[in-house]
Amino acid sequence: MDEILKITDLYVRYHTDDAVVHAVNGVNMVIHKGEAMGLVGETGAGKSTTALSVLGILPAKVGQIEAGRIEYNGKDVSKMNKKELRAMRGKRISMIFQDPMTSLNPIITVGDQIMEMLTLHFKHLSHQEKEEKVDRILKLVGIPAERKNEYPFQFSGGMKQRVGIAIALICEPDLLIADEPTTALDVTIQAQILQLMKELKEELNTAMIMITHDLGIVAETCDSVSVMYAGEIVETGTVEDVFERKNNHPYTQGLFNCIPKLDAEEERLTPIEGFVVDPTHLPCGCKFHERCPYATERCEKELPGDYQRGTHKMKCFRYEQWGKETSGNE
Amino acid sequence: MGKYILKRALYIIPTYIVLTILVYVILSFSPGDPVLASLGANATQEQIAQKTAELGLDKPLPVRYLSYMSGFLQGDMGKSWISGNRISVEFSARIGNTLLLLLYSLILTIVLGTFMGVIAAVKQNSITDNVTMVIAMLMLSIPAFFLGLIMQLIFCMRLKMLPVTGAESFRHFILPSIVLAASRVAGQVRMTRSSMLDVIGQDYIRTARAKGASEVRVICYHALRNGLLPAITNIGNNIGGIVSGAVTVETIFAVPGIGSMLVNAVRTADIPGVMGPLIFIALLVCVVNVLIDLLYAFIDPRVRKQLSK
Amino acid sequence: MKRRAIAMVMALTLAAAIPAWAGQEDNSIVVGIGSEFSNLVPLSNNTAVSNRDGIDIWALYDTLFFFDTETSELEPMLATDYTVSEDGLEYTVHLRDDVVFHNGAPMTAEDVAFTYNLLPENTVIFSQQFSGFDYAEAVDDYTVKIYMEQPFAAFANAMASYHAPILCKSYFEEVGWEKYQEAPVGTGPYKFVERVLGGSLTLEAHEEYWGGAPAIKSLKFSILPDANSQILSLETGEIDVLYNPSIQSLMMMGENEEVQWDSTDSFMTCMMMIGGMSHLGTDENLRKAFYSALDIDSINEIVNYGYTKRADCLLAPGVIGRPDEGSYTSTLPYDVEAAKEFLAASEYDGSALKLICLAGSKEESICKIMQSNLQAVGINAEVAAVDGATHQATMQAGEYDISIYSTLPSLSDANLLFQQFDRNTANFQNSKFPEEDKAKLADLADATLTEMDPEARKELFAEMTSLCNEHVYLAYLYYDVNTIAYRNGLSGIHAISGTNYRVADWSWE
Repeated sequence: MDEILKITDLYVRYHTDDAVVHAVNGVNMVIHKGEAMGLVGETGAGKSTTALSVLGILPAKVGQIEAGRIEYNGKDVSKMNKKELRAMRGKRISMIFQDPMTSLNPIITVGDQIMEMLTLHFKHLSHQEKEEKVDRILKLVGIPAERKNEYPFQFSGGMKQRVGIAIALICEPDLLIADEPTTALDVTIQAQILQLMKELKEELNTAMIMITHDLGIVAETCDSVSVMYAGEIVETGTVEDVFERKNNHPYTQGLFNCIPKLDAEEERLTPIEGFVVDPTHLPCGCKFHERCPYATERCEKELPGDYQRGTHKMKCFRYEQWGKETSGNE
Repeated sequence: MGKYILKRALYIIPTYIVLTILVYVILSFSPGDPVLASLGANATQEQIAQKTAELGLDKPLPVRYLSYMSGFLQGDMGKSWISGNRISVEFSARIGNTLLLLLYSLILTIVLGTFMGVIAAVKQNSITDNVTMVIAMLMLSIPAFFLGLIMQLIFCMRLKMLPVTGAESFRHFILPSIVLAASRVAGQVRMTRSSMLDVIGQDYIRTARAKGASEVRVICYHALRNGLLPAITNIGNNIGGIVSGAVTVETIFAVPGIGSMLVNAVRTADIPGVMGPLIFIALLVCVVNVLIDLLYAFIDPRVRKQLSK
Repeated sequence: MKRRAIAMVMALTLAAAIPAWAGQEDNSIVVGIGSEFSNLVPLSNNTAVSNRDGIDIWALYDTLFFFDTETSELEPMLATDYTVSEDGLEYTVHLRDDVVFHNGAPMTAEDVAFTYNLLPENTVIFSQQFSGFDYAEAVDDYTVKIYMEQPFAAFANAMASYHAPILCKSYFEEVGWEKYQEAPVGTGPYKFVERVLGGSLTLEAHEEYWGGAPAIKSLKFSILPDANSQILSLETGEIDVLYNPSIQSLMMMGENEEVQWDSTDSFMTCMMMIGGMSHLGTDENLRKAFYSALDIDSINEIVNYGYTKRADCLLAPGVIGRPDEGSYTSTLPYDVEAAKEFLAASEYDGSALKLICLAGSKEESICKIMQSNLQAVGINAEVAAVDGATHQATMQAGEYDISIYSTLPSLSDANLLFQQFDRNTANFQNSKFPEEDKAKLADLADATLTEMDPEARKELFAEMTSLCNEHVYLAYLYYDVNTIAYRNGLSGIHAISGTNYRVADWSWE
């Protein structure tokens, strides 16, 4: 069993003064050792929320895990005490955030911020040893070691994100969660960062959840894909399964159709009809039915289950004939 | 960096000149005639004329100002129009007490205000937060003389723990410092609280948590250093307020400082007696503010690096 | 054993917490006073000494003679006796031969002559209290002759004034005025130890004092500007004596087992001044209406708890030269009907009279009572309670009708009445009273200056007082009260009408 992370039936809600936001509604996910899973979906689909739940850093009081289990190496994260959580964060599971401009503490040197990971998780190391490790990871991410006493504002966006990666990987975690790491960067830098991440992942054999709204990134860097809509995983499978374009969830289809093609003669883009679902007022039945070109009456009333064929899973009545998902591994 | 410091220091000069001119002119036009004040109602014309000449009041305003300032810069604050004694003597005897009072209450304000502000921010909207803010507002609302009286009744009369008046030892400064700090703590608490709330909501705090830092470390190591920066500049604002508050406190607790010296001089329209302490205080406020700016520049690496370029 | 140890530690901690103001134990006292000293070295810089500083002046220094305010007698002090020539122009004063200054130097006639010869330089006090003085000369070691340009009837009392304590000539020649002021030297029962400007003055017993070393060995004056703190300090024992607390403060103090206080009539007179611009200055009927409307007994009861007495003469009883009871016309009594009649006869136009006072003072309370008294008679009045500077400015501009102030005879002599009508003062010149009466009063005043016969002098003052009372040229309220509060265990201490307390007479039981 080389499952690192297993999320079962996760429900997460945000309790604000105005309303309750149903951010995550019954998510199931399994990550294996060394596996890179892409988590795709629009803004507000619940991707980041899932990620924050895994680490247990949902906004206090506001964000609550209502139900479900998040098992890391067999232990349920949602039931861990503070000490266990702290030992896990950064050391076993770490995260890279979306906006490098604001993710780093502006008045602490880059070197110190990276070193902090060692101070927190490898207390027994001598200062010398820590320095060496920091130098090494900096080299790995392509930052000259002399710059480690500089402050974040002295680095460009791309360099800052490299620092973020260094921080995330210096403890060699089992799982790295990257929440849209390149969204805020230029396309050229984006390519560099992705390349870097791929190399590091290979070298350290780290499992990864790559959260993105860009299918292209998924194709390049991931082994498997999960498509998320309105807090649910509507389709999941290997990259081949999904990108084959033979069988897809209507939402995934819509996503693919949105990508402009250079070779086609179309003049207009093909968006998905309708608006993203309001997470405070979720519709009954299938959450996508209001925008789905294939929607039937049944879709309005009944919630589709997960239908599986091999490694490919689908949450749509159109694939009902595949059969209910098998519990356990594939 | 050195150039910056020099520039900031030099800016004090024109500010200060304008300030002293304003003060001197305003004081000259204030009600009250020092000649009659010192001679009494039954003075003869002769005596009045003589005293006027003695005090230099027969000369025009700009001349008086210049001669005062040139004396001041050499350390001579002139003579009191009422007692005839040299102001600088009394001033240097009293300034120590006021400075100590300012220092103690400033420290108390900063420590207590910051502490309460951080607690309130960390436990935002909880009972602790609300209680803290209420306490801060309470301290702000109670007038100094009332608070002073209550403290004297409790700690001096009932508990006999502290002296009622005087400035002989450190113990004598405890109550006056507390009373003086009380009104300023509220501002510091509010400032710190909102600044900390702002910081705690930042992304890098989330990153710190994701790294596995304990909540204590997140607050103390990551949040505090950023959150306190605006609070530092607030110290500069506090100086002026504390100095004016010192006047009341010095009177209640009979601390012989320049606050009470100032009040007595104002009451008797003794311009040299007002001028000396007043422009010294103004100078103090200017200098402290410059120091705060420099401190800020020093602490915040973004500003520091900017200046080094 | 452990409990005892704990108890001891607690006791020691508490003992350490309680400050060691041992008064009785080490024979010291702390006297609380309300404001900083005006001038510790009279005649050194042409600055007046405030009357309230009597208590410290007579601790540090002696004068030639001492005016005992209880007996109204002039007693010998540094001088044993004096004679004055027929024409009042030459005084011969004989001195004690056993007096030693704090610095060890013996006091001789040289020191006395030196001190008095400083008078002409100190113009502020000179003309008011030592009028007519020419120069002084040491005849031999213990005899001084004082020469006058013209006689001054009050000169004997002047020799007992807090403005002329005997200073040490040799010390002055050695150190100059500035150093003299920093560390004063006199012949008094206490010598200077230390001064904290604005805070305190510490003195210690002068063992070689000619009157015998004082019982209390250490005397400290502590300056406490706030009335509440004063009372608290006395109650906690931080101070042993509170000098001249107001009656109002004492009433608030209430019963206290460890503290007692004493009061007596003071030489100070609380009275009303008429503003230069006021109609009261020109309209005699209005003045009479005004004065008759005032229920001064009520004011005494309400504001001063009955401790003050209605005044009918500028000079309080006991002041030298004060006319005897019955020898002068009394003041108009409190009579509402009479007031209304006077008002009808006056030219009052209904405008509000402005009563000016310091905000928050007892004068404000007095003004409020006056206001209601006046309303009852039909005179409108408004109370303007202002801060110190505005008060002073308004006074000088004369833009008020009535202001309350207190005055006292610095020489304990009726000379005060002379000062009111001294034709050389701006006050007198600006006053709006009828010229004829003004001239008359001025002439009478001049006469009192040089009239050496005490009885004749009293008659002059009686005449002046009668004139004033008939036409309400002066409007008095009451004779004030002097108080002193102290902790139990102190003996020899009681309130006096003046301010020349003899701390050397006090002791712990």
